Amino acid sequence: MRRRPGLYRAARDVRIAATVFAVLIVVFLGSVALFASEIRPSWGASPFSGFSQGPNETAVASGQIWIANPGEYAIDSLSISTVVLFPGTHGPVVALGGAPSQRIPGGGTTVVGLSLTIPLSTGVGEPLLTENLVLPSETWVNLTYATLFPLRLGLDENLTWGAPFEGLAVDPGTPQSEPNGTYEVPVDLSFNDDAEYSDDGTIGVRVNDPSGVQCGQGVIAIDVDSHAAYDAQFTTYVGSACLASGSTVVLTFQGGPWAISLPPEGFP
Amino acid sequence: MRPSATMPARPYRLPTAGELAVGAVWQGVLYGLLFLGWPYFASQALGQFGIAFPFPFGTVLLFGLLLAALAIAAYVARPSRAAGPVAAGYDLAILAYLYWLAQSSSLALAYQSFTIALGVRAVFLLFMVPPAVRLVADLLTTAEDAFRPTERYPFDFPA
Repeated sequence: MRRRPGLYRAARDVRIAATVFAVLIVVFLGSVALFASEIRPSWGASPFSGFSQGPNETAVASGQIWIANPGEYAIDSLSISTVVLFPGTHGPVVALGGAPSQRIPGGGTTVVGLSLTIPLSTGVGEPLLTENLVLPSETWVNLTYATLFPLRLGLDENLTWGAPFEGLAVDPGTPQSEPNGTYEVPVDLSFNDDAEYSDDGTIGVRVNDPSGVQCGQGVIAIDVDSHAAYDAQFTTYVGSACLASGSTVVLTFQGGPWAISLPPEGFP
Repeated sequence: MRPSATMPARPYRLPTAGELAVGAVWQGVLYGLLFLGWPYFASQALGQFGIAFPFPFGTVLLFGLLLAALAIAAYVARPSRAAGPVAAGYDLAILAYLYWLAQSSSLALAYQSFTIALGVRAVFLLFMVPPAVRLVADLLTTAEDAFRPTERYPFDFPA
């Protein structure tokens, strides 16, 4: 049989190689689709547990997601980001959270730790101490599967926030003058603990006159269970300056890791 | 003198115009399905899941027509010195097509409050490998036809 010429053989071999590449690519893509279909994320009732008191006057939620990746290809650069917004159109950001970037090798199950931190002591977080709110949240999951295929998942959902001092009300009674020149004021303090943790600690009471100068103080101990109401009366002694219109009472809760000022109320 | 004794029989038989025409029709059907049928079926399949076809449909159809025409031209040109250049043009057009597809290849699905965006750019970039490799073969064929015309005919079109 006549031998095929060199250029002809080279061209034929290159075409065969191209066909082999095409077959390999189809097999690879098929295996990617097959293995990707076997990935299973799972969590408990919710990816996040309930909120608890965190350091630096924050409320912290943590959670875990189990991701089973039984296939051969790794999940790279898996990151989860959550943003919680204040109610209203494009409200300011209340909290940031998620999980740092990590890799899930093929053939294994990985637990992804989640965290969400809401600062309560400053700015937009302050109303969350005394107001139950429905907070819109956005969560994004970014990952790359089999090195080549980026995937982005987005989930919008509402987060129900229970305030630890919901409906905080300070209702001063009628002042009674004392022989030493001060005034005894009965104060009714009420709120609901709608958070998922108890309010166990003390509330410092500081009364400021209209110019901001402290003119009275006191401390009361509280231990209010989660989802319980608190309504109690205590007595504070204030100077005459505190009776002027425009005075305020500032409550500071100290308990667990918190030492947090509650929104000021009018006094009397 | 008997001509048959001094003129060796040609070791190949080029297809006739009729045979090429029939083959071209089949090529047209095959590549029409490949380049024009897939956008239609893909858009239908994606639509069932609420996923928008991520490419301008008209441009995909224009590319499909061009590629089908070039595929037919490459088939018809096989028994000529134009085989290599036309096949190279066809493969270059495929490379351009796949590169264009790769530029806007994110499949997005939105369902209630849930969105998914899958980047499939790599699929098209991977599929650029075979035509890029085949382009080398086309150049080899072009060179072979330029320097040794008809050399490949006995193997491509045996008598």
